[in-house]
Amino acid sequence: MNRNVKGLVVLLALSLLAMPLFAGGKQEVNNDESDTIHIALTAPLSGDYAEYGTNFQRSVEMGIEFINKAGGVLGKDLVLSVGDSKGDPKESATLAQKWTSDPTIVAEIGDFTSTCCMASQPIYDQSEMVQLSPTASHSDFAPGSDWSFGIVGTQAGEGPFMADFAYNGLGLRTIAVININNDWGIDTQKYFSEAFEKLGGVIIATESYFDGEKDFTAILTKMKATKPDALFMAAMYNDGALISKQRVKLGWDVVVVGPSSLYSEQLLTLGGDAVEGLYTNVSFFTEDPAEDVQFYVTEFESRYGVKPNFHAALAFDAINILAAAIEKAGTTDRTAIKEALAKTTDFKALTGSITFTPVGDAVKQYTKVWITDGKFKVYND
Amino acid sequence: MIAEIKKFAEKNKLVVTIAVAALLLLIPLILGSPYLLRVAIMICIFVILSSSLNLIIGFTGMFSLAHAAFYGIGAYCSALLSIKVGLPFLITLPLAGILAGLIGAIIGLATLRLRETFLVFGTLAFGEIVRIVIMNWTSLTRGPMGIPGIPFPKIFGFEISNYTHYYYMVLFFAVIVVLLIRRLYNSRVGRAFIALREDETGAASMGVNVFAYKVWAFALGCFFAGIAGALYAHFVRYISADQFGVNESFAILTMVALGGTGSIIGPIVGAVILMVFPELFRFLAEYRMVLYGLILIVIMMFKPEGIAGFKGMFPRDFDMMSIFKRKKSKTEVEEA
Amino acid sequence: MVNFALGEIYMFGAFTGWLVVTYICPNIFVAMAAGIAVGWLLGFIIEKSAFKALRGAPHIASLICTLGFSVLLKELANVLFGAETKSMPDFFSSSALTIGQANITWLQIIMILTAAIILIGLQLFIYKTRMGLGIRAVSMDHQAAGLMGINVDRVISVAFSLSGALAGLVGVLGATYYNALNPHMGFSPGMKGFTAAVFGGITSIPGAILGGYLLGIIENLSVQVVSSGYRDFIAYLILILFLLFRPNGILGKKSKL
Repeated sequence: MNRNVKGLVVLLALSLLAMPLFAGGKQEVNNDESDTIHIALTAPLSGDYAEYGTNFQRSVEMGIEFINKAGGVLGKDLVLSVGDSKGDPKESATLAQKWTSDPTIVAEIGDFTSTCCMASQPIYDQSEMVQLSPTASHSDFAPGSDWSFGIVGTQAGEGPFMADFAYNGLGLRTIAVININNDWGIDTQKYFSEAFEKLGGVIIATESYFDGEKDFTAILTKMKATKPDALFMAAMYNDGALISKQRVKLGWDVVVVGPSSLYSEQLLTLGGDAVEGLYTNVSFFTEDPAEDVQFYVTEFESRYGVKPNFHAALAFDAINILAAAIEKAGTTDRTAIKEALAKTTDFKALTGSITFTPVGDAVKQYTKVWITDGKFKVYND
Repeated sequence: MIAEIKKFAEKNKLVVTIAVAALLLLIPLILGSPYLLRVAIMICIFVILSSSLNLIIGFTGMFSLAHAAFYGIGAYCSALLSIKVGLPFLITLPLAGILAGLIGAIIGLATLRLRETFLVFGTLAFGEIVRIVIMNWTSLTRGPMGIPGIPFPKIFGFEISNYTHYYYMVLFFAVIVVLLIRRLYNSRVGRAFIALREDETGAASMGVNVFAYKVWAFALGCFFAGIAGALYAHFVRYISADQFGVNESFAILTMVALGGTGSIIGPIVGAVILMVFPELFRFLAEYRMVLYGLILIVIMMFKPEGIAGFKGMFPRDFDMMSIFKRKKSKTEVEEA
Repeated sequence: MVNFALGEIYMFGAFTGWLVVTYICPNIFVAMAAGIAVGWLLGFIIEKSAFKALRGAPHIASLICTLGFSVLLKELANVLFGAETKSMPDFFSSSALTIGQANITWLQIIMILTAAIILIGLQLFIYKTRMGLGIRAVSMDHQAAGLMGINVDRVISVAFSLSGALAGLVGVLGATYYNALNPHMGFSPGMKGFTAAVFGGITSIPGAILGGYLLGIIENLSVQVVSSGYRDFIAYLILILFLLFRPNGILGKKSKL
């Protein structure tokens, strides 16, 4: 035993010694003199959230390509370093440390899940580097640090909007809520329910499910028995499609309402007839006639064969907002970039005009849409 | 090559020990970058986890798929006590270990009588139960929202917020845990267990209360996992239930198996390799995890005792080449 | 012996079915056959590398090896097919009959029939064929079985391939039923499959099917009576209680595993 211990401690030591070999030489860098600007992207390229991470990478790379074609930022080309976090908070935090330790990197975009963003937040905060998440909606995320920014908009804004849409726009009075049991789902459920009850409506049932669930029949049967006017689905589009299909199979005909996470072409292909008549809202709409939206949608579709969804568009916005902030700061100094980013007002993005609140959240504008004839259409009261 | 290193280490015991100790102490200087230092800190935390799981496997001959649950219990316990009650780290750390150890003892009492396949399911189910309780007990754990703002540990008024300091602290605990486990293995009970691991009836007939020792080993392993959880919680400063799921249990078990079950150094090697691997192969992007799966299969196929494990644990007739040729009949083996 | 990659075989079966119906031949029965073939092949490969090669090594090595396959298959699917959720075309989704308020589609009837055929087929296979006798013998005591002249390697290989083939088949059916498939769809059915098998009794085939129903009933009841958040909690709790007090399940025989 002893012999093994000693012998293999040496191996351990050797492997630790080998670590600096892949560290890359540490060099003093003056970013203002270099002719490129490095930006980092943390996204889940493998694992359960790979789908969203891949969309992040596609959009951000596309965005950088366009920016560089148009002359870059401060006359320099943007260069992207991509890190795969696997959706694992541990790895996301390690990546955060990797980015912040690298003096050439000026700011970071990512991660996808709020948990990953929250786990890496203390590092960005301590190392003083901008962490701009396209999708983190956790109510503690942006307020948690001066260096953290979110552009998806919190449920504190979207919840009341949807509650008003449901109560006043659609005349619904009793609603059953089904939500995914994660930070986003809980927030969505909470803000919607609070606002709906304040308007005078009744939340008749609330049920949650864990990520990865495929069978919602039990929950739906229970909710059906409460006979609500409508069903509110705080779910991603793929779960939303499953819930809708199973609802129809149960023979439950009811109005369905949900947040903007449902907005995806995939909802239509996965859900088919079952999602017909569903009400939701969008900040980004592929049918939006605005020139920049159409340009982005056509480019994305011609490259990847699918229409971009809300999350992809948010990642595209993130890189553009960041580029604009660097341009405005006039330098690649991390603190200057943060100051400039915080002052972003009325930035014309694909997902609507973006102005950061004092804590670093974005206030979004929402457009009511519904599904009719198998397509998302703008809903006019 | 490993044999030669062993031989060398054997001959120059003192020199090697001093060299290794010096190396471990100088790591913050050698690594330089906080990124690598962070990896080193995570390695130390996972060395505690894999070594403690190895203690359970070594003493009970069975493996638990609930280790991440005890790790999570420790993390939540320490985080909540320091945030809600305001207790200092030096008190929350042992409390985290004790809570995890107590729950471990109860789970051990209930499940350690199960046969192998059933124990796998039983511990797997328990791991999921812990995660679900954390997710649903929102008034205490904030459920899926997680716990942000966990303070840095403070020891005698000295705040450990610097990576170098944190490294020395987790290194200290990792070394203590490894040495304790080594001491246990080499104790009278430990030797009896290693000799009798494969033969429970034999151990029982020798007058050893096998079951009681198993429960003790299980509880102690869980205690260390709880300690690791506390160290982790105050390091990342944001914890949520999904950081302690089944995948984490699988990762810890993989470290033990890859490094070498039953040896002291095995889990350490496993933890180092599996924490360094993802960083080393980042350039592969989405192909990285494909390679990870492939490497796992290949190593386990060709070195089933683990990289630093010993062959001694295996039945004599184990023969790697048997995949390539028809298996000899029993009599042929005996004649040979 | 536990195969942690079974959920991923299910997923690969689903993707095979999807490839067949979208690119080769839009017929669900052809897709099911393809799912069976791929599942069989994967089961065979996994048995050869994780179990045959490691016979005599501790079980933990085999277990980690199947975990490796689980990661490999999942990430391969990510890379090969893309991570987006794909949709299966509708098959037999028209309503066959209505009982009360519940619609039963032709697809559901096909699934029930398939389950019945599998149950009867397996039962016949296990109790009426020489290979089935071999499987039963090996499950009781593989050393004794070997001494009695049973080709243990072949028996185990067939058993694994068969379980892979069934997982592949169910993958195609599951993807069609839920109309959705993605690389991480295998985790939840994998866990539920184990739970159901323990409920019914690991060594019994009707038991496994009964266990599946029981699990479904428990989950539904716990949603109705307690709360949806605790539904898996209750299922796992009952699993642990079963393991402690009735480890052979409802229909399992008292035999060594």
